[in-house]
Amino acid sequence: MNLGQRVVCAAVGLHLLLAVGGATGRFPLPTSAAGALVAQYGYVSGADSDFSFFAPAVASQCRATLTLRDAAGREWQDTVFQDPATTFGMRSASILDSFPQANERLQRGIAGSWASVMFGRHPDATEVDVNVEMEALPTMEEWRAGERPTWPSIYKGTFLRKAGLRKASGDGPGEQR
Amino acid sequence: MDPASNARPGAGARLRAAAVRFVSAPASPLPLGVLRIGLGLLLLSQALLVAGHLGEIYDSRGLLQAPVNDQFVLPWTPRVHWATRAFAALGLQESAAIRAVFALHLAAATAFLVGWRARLAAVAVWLTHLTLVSSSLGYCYGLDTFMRIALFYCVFAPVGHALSLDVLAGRVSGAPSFAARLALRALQLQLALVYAATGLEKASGVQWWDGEALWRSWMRADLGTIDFSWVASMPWVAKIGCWATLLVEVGYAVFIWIPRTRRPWALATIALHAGIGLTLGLVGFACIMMLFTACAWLVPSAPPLPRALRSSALTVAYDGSCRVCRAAVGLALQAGRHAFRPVGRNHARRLPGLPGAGATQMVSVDAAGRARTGAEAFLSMWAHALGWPALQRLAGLRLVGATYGLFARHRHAVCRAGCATGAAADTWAHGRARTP
Repeated sequence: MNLGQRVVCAAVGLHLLLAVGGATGRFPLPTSAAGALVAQYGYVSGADSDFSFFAPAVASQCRATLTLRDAAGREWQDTVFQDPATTFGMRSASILDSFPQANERLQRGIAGSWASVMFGRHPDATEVDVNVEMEALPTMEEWRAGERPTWPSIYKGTFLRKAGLRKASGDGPGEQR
Repeated sequence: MDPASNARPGAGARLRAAAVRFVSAPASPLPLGVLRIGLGLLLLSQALLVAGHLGEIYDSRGLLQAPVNDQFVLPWTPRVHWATRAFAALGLQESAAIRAVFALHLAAATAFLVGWRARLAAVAVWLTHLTLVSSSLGYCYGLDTFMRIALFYCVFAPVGHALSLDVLAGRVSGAPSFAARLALRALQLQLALVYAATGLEKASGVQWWDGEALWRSWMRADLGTIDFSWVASMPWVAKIGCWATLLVEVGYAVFIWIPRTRRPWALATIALHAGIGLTLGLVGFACIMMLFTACAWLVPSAPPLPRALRSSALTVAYDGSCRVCRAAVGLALQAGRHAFRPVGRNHARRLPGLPGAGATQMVSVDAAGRARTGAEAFLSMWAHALGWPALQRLAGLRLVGATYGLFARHRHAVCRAGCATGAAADTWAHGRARTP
C-alpha cells in the first residue's frame, strides 16, 4: 500500500471507530468546539447513529385525538394523521412514537403544531383540545385471560386561536392551569 | 544458498500481509453499482410517495414546525428553511422553495440511479437528503438513518464504476480497484457493527427472551398488517421468532465472515427483513437492509483470476472499440460465476479459425469448438457466465435477434463520442491487463 492508501485506510478506521461510539451510545457530546465539530461530522455521516430498533423493548403506540370547538360551543373532531398503511401516514405516526420521550415543553410545542394545523384547516374553530393516549397492551398471558388494550392519556392540552394564548385543561402531565 | 531466503515469514508479518490484503486487494465495483441502483430506487420511491404532502411535512405551518424540529438539529446542518429564507429574499413563496429543494433532490436521485456523473450526483443527493431529513426529523425512522449512512459512503466510494452511464461514456473504468475493496470492507464492517449492536441491545431486554417483543410489535395497529392476536394462544411462535431474530443479528457479526456460513447467514438475514417488511409494513426499511446484505456479501466482488480466464471453456470475441460492448462483456465477467476468455481485438491472430470475428458481431466459441454469432453469441456468454443454460433459448426469439442486429449496426453511433480504436480498444470494462 502506498502512503495515500494508508491515509485513506486510517480515515476509514477513524470513521468506523466513531460509528462504534455511536452504536454503543458513547458518541462525543458537543461540549467543546472540537466536540461540536465531531458531533456535526457524526450527524452528517451517520456515524452517531445508534441501532436500538425495537430494543431493548418494543415501545407502546400512541394516538392523538383533536377536538375542535367554535365560538358557539359546537364540538367536532378531526385528525392530522393519516392511515399508517400509507407511507406518509406511517411516517407521521413516527411523530406520535417520539411523543412520550419528549419533555413537557417539547410536548407542548408538538401539540401546538397540530393545533395550528387544525386552526388553518377549520377557520371557525376557536379552541383545540389535544389528547394523546398511549396503549397499554396486555401480555400474551393476560390476553388469554381476557384482558384487552386500554388507552390511558399521557397528555392533554387546550389551545386557543389567538397566538401565544393557551388555556390549560389542568388534568394531565401537559399544561397546568 | 542463504537459509534465510527460505525461511517462512513470521506470524506478525503474515498477519500484516493478510490485513493489507483484507483492505486493499482490488475488488470489482459491481456490488457498489448494485448498491447505488438500489439506493437510487429507494430514494425516488420514498420521495414520490410523500410528494403530495410536502406542505404538511416542510411548511412552517406543518405537523412539526421548524422551531420544534430545530431543537434536535445541530446548527450547521442544512435545512429547508435556509432555502425558504433565500427565496423570501427574492420575493418568492415558501412553497416554491420547498418544491425547488424537492425537485433538486429528485434530479440528484435520478442522476445517482443511472450513474450519470455519479460522484457529483452522490454529493448532491447526500446533501438534499440530509436537508430534507433534518427538516422533518419527526417523520424519520430507521430507513432514513441507514440512507444517511449509505449516502455518506457513496460520496467517497466508486459507486459509479459499475452499471452506470459513466462507464458507458468511458468517464470511469469498471476495473477492480483498491477504492472498491476499501468501500466494500467499510460497508461490511459497518453492517457487522449494526447487527451486533442491535442484537446485543435486544438481548439485554426481557421482551426478546419471553416472546413479548414480537407480540407487542405484531399487535401495534400502526405497524401490524395482519391480525396476530392468535399468537397469544401459541406464545411459542413469538418466542421462537424472538430467539431466531437474536441468533441472526448477534451471529451476523461472526458467521458472516466465515466463508462456509456466509451465504446461509446472509440469506437468513434477508429472510428476517422480508418478514419485517411483510408483517410490520416497514417495507422501505426492509428493502434497504436486504440491499445492504446482498451488496456486501452476495454480489460477486472477486475479480476472475487470469488462470480461470485462460482455462475457460468459452471464448468470446467482440468489438473492443465499442464501449457498450466492452461494458457488457465486463459486466458478464464481474457478475458471472464462470469465467470466459474475452478477446477484444486482433481477432484474426488470436482466433485464427474465425477471421474477422468480433469485428461486426459478437462471436463465441465453446469447448466443443461450436461457434455462435450475434444474439446467439451474446446470450451464450451470459448463459455461461451466470450458469443459466436456459438463457440460451432466448436466442430463438425474433425480437431478440432483431434488437441485437439493430444495436450491432448502430453501436458506434450509440457511443460515437468515445468509441476507441487501436490499443484502447482492448480495454474491456473489467481492466486492460487481462485480455489475452
